[in-house]
Amino acid sequence: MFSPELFLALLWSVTGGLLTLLGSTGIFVSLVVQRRMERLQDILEEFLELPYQENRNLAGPMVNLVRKYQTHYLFPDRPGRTILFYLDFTLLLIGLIWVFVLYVALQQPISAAFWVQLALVAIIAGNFFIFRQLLQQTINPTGNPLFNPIIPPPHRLRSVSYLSRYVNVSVKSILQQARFALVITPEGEIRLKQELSFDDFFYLFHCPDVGCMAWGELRLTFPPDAITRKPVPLLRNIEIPLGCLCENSPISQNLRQKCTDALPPLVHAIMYVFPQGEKHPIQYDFELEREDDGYHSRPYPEMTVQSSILFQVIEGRLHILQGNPLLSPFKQYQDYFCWDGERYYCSNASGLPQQCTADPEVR
Amino acid sequence: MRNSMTDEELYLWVRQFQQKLLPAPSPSTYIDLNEGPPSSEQLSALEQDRPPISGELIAFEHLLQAMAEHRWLRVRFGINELLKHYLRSITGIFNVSNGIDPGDVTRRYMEMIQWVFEYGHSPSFPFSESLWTYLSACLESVGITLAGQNQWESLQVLIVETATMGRQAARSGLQTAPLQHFLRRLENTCRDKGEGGREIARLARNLRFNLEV
Repeated sequence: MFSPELFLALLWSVTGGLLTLLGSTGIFVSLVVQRRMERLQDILEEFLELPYQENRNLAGPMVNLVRKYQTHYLFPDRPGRTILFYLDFTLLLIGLIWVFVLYVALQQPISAAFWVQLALVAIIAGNFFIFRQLLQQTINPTGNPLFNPIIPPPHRLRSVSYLSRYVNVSVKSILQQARFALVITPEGEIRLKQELSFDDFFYLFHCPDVGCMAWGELRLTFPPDAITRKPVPLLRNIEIPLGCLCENSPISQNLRQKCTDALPPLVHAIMYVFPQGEKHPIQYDFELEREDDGYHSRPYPEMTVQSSILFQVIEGRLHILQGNPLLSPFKQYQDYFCWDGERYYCSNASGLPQQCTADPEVR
Repeated sequence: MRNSMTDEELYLWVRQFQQKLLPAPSPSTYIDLNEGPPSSEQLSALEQDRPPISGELIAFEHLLQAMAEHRWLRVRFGINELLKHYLRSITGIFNVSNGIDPGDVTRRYMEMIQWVFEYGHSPSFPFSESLWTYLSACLESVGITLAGQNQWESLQVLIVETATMGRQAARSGLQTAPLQHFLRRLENTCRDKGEGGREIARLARNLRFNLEV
């Protein structure tokens, strides 16, 4: 049997020692974590620098960088979990020792001062818990709210609004790599083709020759691959239905054929893209030519930053501050311009807006 | 005055190019070490060996020379003539079907186009981008024409070779949007044209998805 006073003193020094050890391992942990974060940020930086080389085909390198980023983001974190186990074990030991010491030091009868002491102990315990959580998030810096602003999840790299709002990258050159193209299928469906699936922007689409309008927020969600269970940050060759030329009524194939038959051989269409972090939209001028029953836009549509339109997003709604004459066809639909992740269209100038429910697909 | 001279010159060049393209008899006994070891009988009869120089090869030589001189208009017209000549010969084969394999003919022409493309890739050639844009537009027309005539065998060779060039172009940062469009259009055109067409549509789709990876 040890003498109780000395044993208590020993326990005190043990907890002190353990805490010191914990502090010193923290330095090494931070080194390891730092390395991983640096790696991710390097890739992110490389990705953001890419689009500044305009007029070059960067689709391949961009996809590769996003994949590389995802790989480092998803890397199995065994060392992190082991460190966390040691951490938990040590903290538990220290907690037990303290509870034991406090139990030994407990004196009857219980007075009012005891509750004050207990409250203090509870605050200290809470503080320990918070620090444990902080350490947990630092050791495993991906996918938690503390580090998300510094290391975004891979799918954020396809979000135009994120890239323009926080990273201040040229949206125009990013979208150039997406290579937008427009198709009107023989069935009268208007589809936007993207070679790289960038999303998270508001769009207005107007085709005066056809009298069709479409608008909405483009937000894509890609579920993880069903077989490999890998998340999908970016897809290639995606087609997004924007609307339909004909009314969405159950009519026969022959009747539908007619809605593209009546069109002139060359059709113009304008599309405005509104990224959340910008104030001027990007204007696309598409020229569609008749080609095997349907209409296809010519490659490299004219793409400009339309500086005569000024917009702002207030409480999830698009407000056009300047340049309304350019958007006069949309005048009566301005109440519908909300960022709710839905696509709307209206097939003739007086008709009611309809929701486009067809899902984007890889084709 | 001077302008009309160069006009005349260019016109003359194209005329000569067209004439060179006309088919010439090509002996088939030539020993090419590239195609495997020769037999001893073949080696003993070396005197009769004449390289199988056809019209299109001579024309191709002229095209290369025009490229080396950076005569962009000549190069353009030359490629155009070469592909037109190809289309004419391939439709001829299809009509007559005299034992010539259309796949082989396509391979021969595509080989030349590939050489032109490779040369266009060298840093000394100033029109790399224009050449690639022009080539992909021309190949699209050729491909759509072949699809219209159900020439699946030639079409297969054509798109595989085109996609190889496309991958190389994408690696060096050249645009592949026209090529993507071509393959997509081909896929749509061929899908409803029987088993051969469906096969081409599948191949085109696969090539399109692997163009930049």
